Amino acid sequence: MTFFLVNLTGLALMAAVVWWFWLAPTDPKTQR
Amino acid sequence: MDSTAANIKNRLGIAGATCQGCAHKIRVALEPLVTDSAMVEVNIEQQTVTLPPGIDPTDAARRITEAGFPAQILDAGSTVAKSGCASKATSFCSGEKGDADEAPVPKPASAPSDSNANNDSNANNTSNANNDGIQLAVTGATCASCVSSIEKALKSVSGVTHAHMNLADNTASASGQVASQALINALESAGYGASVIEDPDSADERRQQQDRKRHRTLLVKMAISLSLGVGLMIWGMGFDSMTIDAGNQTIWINLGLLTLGVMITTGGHFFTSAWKAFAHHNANMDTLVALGTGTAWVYSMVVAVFPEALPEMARHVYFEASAMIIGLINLGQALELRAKGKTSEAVRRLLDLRARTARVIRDGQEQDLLIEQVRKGDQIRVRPGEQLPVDGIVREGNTRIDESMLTGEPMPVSKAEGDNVSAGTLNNRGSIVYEATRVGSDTALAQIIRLVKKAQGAKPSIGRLADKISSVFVPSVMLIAIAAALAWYNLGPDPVVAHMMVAATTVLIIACPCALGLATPMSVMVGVGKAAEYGALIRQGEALQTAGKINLVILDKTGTVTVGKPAVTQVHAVEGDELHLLALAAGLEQHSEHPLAHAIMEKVWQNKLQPADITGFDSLSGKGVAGQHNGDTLRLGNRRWLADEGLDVTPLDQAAQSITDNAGTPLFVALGTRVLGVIGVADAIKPDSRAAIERLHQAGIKVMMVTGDVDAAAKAICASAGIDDYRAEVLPEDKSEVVNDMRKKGYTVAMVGDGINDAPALATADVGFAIGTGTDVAIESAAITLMRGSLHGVPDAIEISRATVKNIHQNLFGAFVYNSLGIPIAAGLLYPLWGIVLSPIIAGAAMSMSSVTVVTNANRLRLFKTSHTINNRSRQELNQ
Repeated sequence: MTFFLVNLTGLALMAAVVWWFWLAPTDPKTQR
Repeated sequence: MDSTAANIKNRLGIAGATCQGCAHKIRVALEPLVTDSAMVEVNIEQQTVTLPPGIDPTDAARRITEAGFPAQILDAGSTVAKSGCASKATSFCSGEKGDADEAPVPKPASAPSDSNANNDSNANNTSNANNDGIQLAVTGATCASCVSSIEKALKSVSGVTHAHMNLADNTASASGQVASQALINALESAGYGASVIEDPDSADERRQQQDRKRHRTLLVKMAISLSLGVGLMIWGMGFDSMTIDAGNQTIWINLGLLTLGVMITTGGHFFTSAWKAFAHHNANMDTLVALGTGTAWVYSMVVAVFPEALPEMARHVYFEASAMIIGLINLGQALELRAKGKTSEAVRRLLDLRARTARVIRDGQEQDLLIEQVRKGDQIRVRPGEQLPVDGIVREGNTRIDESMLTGEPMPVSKAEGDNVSAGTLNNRGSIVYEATRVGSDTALAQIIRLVKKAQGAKPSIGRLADKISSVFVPSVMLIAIAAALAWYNLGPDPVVAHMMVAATTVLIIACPCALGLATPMSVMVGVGKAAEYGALIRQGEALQTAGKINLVILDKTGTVTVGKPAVTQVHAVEGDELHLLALAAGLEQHSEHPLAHAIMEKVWQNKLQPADITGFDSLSGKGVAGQHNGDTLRLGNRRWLADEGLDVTPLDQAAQSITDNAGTPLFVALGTRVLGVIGVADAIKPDSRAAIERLHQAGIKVMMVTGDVDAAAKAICASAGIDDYRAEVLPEDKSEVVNDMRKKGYTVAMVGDGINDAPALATADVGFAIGTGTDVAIESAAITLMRGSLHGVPDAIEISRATVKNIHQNLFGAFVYNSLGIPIAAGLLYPLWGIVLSPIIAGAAMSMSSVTVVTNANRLRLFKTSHTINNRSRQELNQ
């Protein structure tokens, strides 16, 4: 169980990094 | 495009193009549209671009605008280019009532003064549409990721056409139709501080003061955090195991809280900056530091508070790592700040040349006035040993002036009534009174300072690669850190939790993109400054990079290889002495306005001779001049004329041939029926041209000459100057064709000319060198301007360029190698082989060292000496 939880958290964190820094729309006020 | 359009030459109005370098950029921008970019006519004076027939003007306007020069179509009823940026060009043109017929040219608007800005409520603040853009002093930028975040933030502001951040001096510039407050807001919301640089000089001083203060603060912070870190380490290793048990739990909880306090006070700036960047979907070096030290602290605190939640082997605390990493990074930043200050030494030296006061003569009274109070037209007295406060023309007295600080020319130059003098130069001996012609920011010195500063901030294409990489670098490192932690969890030995944390923290800490961000700007800054020391003003950062790749140098003849004005080179007398021959010739030539006559008169004045008495002077076009001297006819002219008059000139044939072989014109002198001698007049080769050309050859560069002269003269010059090839009888306007041909043959071409009539060729070449004598040269006319007349400036600039590019490569290589080796080691790649796991503390030290290494390597360039200087020095030493 811990094994899955830890790995899942790690993968989720990686997905969050990719989404936040590359995919998420930026502040509309500063959009070109 | 219809057939009519295909035959029309469209004209575009542009803004912001100030020089031939800009013209070159515009031509380059249009290269994808035209078969030959030389067919694009760029008129800097009128700010227009005329396109060859068949070119889509809308597309051309878009490309020119994207190149940084807002453009609009003029001859098609002021239709505006439909690009976003070009539409901004229209909006600022509309300020001039937008009537294309009446005001066809969008003038580059300079940034209005404060008062204007305040009066204009719509503009909100300083509005800008010029090429230099709004200059901002930026705080909080630490690494390459910051550079890309800042440029992204500036470009996101509506109206900005071009944005550029220079990490080396923490300034940013943005051009386009934009209010400065909008730029400041954008930067502040991206997590950085910004203020408009109104007066670059005072901004420099302010920045230096701030840097000194910041340096001190960083050292104090470093001392506090390192003391705690080292203390904890000594205590932990000497008196405690740093592993939590019932006996030391409370102590470690308290020590953890103390560490938190120290982290906030000495490393708070990392966390605030990281948060601001994160909130804007950006990541920078501070993100890595904050995540790394934060992870170590949180893990240690969990261990200290809930030790039973973790296996016994994993109950190790890492508070000392958090404190020491912050201490080491503060130390690294302090060292970096100090080294950064040294790179701008060249500009500081130029700034120091400015005099503070001037002795002005007004209404017959001499008074010492502050330099700001000196007006154009003022009479200024300069005594021996004093620095000249402003540019002007000598009205009284004569002296020798040391111009080396501006031109690199070591010998003081004689100045007499009517000669131009420049601010910042040093009066050696003699007292003069001169009239101020250019004051304040108009002086040559002020222009040079502006130019050097601008070029120092430029980013050659090589630097853009680093920016591209660093913009994706930090998030990638975060992914690697998580992946490493998971790998340790799944594959590593016990205690896995501790190993996970150590691996992730070390990866985050070691991966410092600061070295990457500093690699290019630091070297460019030192390289441009070094070139300025040698009297070569580099106007474009790109030229600094391209100059190193040059493999063909094309030289203009007159004024470049040669002195530029005819002079007497040889005198052969059959009868009497040579001085007597010159005196006779001068007797005739003093009545003539011909350039050859000036050459002879100059020689006569130099030798303090008295011209012979002549009556009945006559000038015979295409033949020579004649007059009566002591009852005989004295003739001075070409061979054919004297032969036609029945005189035997054969005894002088050999001497005449020698003159012709050296690209000179033989002038025969005859009195009555006797031929007295021949005087050779030639545009002499500059004394050091041959040596400079030899240096180019040694650097593996082919040298070619273009001239409007006849073949024989060109051939003679090439032979005596050691030039490989030449093109003779080339009209000034066709020189750019020659440059283009050679470029098509695959050469990277440098064109060296006087910057005025060679302007098209200078713009067509990969790098244009404008060569001038003293400070009179138009410094805006080429990518690189050589302030002294010597051709040595060309190999000097090329050598400096090569050294700078090599330095940038070393820096980038170092930064990449550091990261590509450091990250895998930090992730634990060596553990399966040798059981090596890197400590986060070592990672922190390595990270600081990487940027210190880059900055130190860039500073090494300051010691660079060109081969000419080295050779001169060794010759002087041999002579001693």
